[in-house]
This record gives sequence, structure tokens and C-alpha cells, in this order.
Amino acid sequence: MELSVSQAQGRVPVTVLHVKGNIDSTSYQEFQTQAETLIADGAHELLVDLREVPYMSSAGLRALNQIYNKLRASTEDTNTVTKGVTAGTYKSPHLKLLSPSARVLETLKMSGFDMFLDIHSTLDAAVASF
Amino acid sequence: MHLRAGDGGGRDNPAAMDRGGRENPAAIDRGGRENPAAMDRGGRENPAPTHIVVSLSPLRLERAFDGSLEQLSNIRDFVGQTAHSLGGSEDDAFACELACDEAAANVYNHAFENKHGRIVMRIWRAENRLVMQMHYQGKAFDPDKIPEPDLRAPIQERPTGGLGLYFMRQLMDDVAFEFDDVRGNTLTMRRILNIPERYGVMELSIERPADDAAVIHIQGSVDGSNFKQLIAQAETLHGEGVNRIVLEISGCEYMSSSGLVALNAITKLLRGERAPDAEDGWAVLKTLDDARGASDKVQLALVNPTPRVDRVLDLAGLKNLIPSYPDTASALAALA
Repeated sequence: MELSVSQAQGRVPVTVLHVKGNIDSTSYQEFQTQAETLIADGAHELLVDLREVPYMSSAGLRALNQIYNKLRASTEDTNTVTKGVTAGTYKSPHLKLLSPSARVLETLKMSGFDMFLDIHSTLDAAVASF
Repeated sequence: MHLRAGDGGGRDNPAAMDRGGRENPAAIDRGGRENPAAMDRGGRENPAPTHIVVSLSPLRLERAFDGSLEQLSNIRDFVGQTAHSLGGSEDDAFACELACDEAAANVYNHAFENKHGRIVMRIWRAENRLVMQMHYQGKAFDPDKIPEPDLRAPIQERPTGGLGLYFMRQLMDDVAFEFDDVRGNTLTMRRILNIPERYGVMELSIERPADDAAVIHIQGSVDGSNFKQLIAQAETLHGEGVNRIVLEISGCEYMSSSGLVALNAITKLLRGERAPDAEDGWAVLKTLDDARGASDKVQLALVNPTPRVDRVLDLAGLKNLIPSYPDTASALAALA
């Protein structure tokens, strides 16, 4: 797996983490650690670029879950989020995904992660959505 | 690789769990989704398989994986290629890869306490199901005690475990664990394949470019339900004086181990040997190789096998014995 980072400017500055390769039990830790380092260094808005990720197992989802929790605003009310997820109106404000492959999307859907992770198909739309 | 007259697989597992009836708010749509980002599973070689065993009737593949998590991609490649070769669609192959990845990751992380060990995988086809078995020595667990993830729970409150097992049950029609301290543990997973509608349908058409030569065009699938028809057709042609046969199989979508039996029978027929009894034909498949030394003259050739059929031939070790050509003319010329 190869990781690289770039910055984009929408309404707010967005950190883009580009992932190349499969995210499975072998590689998720590297991915998660990189994202956590970015957050520790001050990134508030994180876009994970999945365009070159052919495959993701549940290990990748667990990493996304951890990253989501690190980015979650401490003021965010759990009940409001839960209601929003159930109603289909909530989309993760600080963690977004760019262009998962059909297979990765299946994995996200099977786990229900697509119900609250905001997924975009183009870089411009993703950056503008923060 | 060697061929072995294997014992039959397909035994049923009494401890099978069924995924039916479970609440599933985000069920994956298994039907017919297109796959623009199919994984590269063509042509890649597994770097270091410990051994591979192919047995026929049913065609069963076995491979051992020694090591740790770094074997996951090898396991996925093996499972995906085999699922595809045994008649699975791209969706089937993906489901099998993901389920085995999750199962193996759990074994490496939880069952092997030092995180290293051997996993032996066996895969075979039983009618419309693909059966995958994972055998290993290691710590047991109670699958019923793994809570099913609540997909409606707030994301921040979700337990991080259990998702792998949940995926396995979603992707497979049947997931069963057997734990045995002495003989080792066996995980058996079965999936009903998305079989093409033409399964069991074989259409033959014959051309006679010369008195002693025939081209048989095969459309559809050559499997247990129809392989004897193919042998009978070759016998009829042989009776009419044909001793060179080209099978044009570009339209053959699937060939089971019964199809391989038919190829074996036709090869023997054209050599003037008695065709083996179709009922135990697979047991003598290996004799094709043995019998070849005396005469290298080949009287059966294939034209344009699909990549899937080509892999089945390769797995069974027949690819070098029955040559393939890109078109009928060059196949006929090679047999002349």
C-alpha cells in the first residue's frame, strides 16, 4: 500500500489522504496511523481518496471507524447523530470518501457504513462539500 | 502439480448455520451487479504455495498457506481464481475472496496465538454450490458468542469486532465451524453460485473438412448432465472414419470435471484405444500422460478456449496434452 497526502482548498482547508492498494488486515494499521498522525498534526477535514483501492476488508472499515471517532466533534450530540443516520439525513461532516470502487462500495454497504459516511465521486465535489 | 484420484468432497455438515431469517438492514445485492473494478486475478502467480493438489470428481483444489497475515493476498488470489474456474461469476469470486480473507484474518489474529501457522484451503464444486474449507490447528472459539454488529447503532458506539464473521455470513449461504483439538479445526463455507442460464445446455454442430477430420463446435456448458453426448458424438464420427477432431470451444462457457472426462475419452478413442467407461473415466485421466510417451501424435485439438475453460484445463494438467489453437485452420493443419 502506498499513501500520499495533499491539501485542497474549499470553503475550508481539506487534507486529502490518497491510498493506493488494498486495505486489509495486513495494511489497515499503516493507513489508520497515517490518518491519525494527520489529525494529531491539526487536520480537521479529511478526505480519503479511494480511487486506487481495488479491495477493502472489514479491517479497513474498522480503521475508518477509528478515524471517524478521532474527527468527531466533541460537541456532536449522539442522539441527534443517531436520528440523522436512521432518517438518512446525516453525513459525516469531517471524514469523507472519494470514489470507492464497486467492490469497496459493496463492503461499505454490507456494513452499513454508507449510511453515514459521505461518499463523493469527484474530487471537486468532495472538497466543496466540507 | 499432480493428479490424484481423490475422494469425493461434498459431504454435508450437520453443524451448518443458516443465515436465513436474520435481520439484515444493509444486505448486499448479490444479484448481477456489474463489476467495473474487478480485481486483477488473471495471470498472477502465487509466489510460494507450499503445495497444490488437484483431484478430480469433483475437481477439487487444495493449497496450503504457511505464515501469517502476509498470506491474505495469496489466499484471495487462490480463492478468486478457483471460484471463477469452477463456474462462479465475478460476483461469486469476489464474495468468496472477501469471506476467506475475513476468515483467514481471524485465524491468524485469534486462533494462532503466535500469529503464525498453516492454513490448508480446499475448494470444490458440489452441484450449484461452491464449497470452501479452511483447515488449521489453533484456538477454538464459540461463534454464537460473537455478537452480530448492530448496523443501526451510532458509529461511535459500535464494537470493532465481529464484522468479519458478519461478512462471512452475509456473503455465504452457509458457514459452519468444527473445532477439534486433535484433528484440527475446520471451517466450511458454501455459496450458491450465480450460474449462467445456459448451464446444462450444450449445442453441438459438426463440420467435415476432410474424410478423416471433423470440427465440432460446442456452445454452452459441458458438464455432468451432457458430457456423454459429446463422447457419443465423437464415437459416431470415429465410426465414420474420422481420426482427427478439432473441438471449437470458444462458445463453451463452462467445463466441469465431467467435460475433462469427455476430452480424455475422445483422446483415447482417436488413438484407437477403448474409451474408458465414462462412469470411472476421471480415474484414468492421469493415464493420458502415461500413455503419451510411445506416440506423440496428437489427434485432438481445441480452438479458442475461454480463459475460464483454459484455467480448468491448466489446473487439471491437460493443457500440455491437448493443444489449443487460435483458429480451426491452424488446428486442422497441426493434426494433419
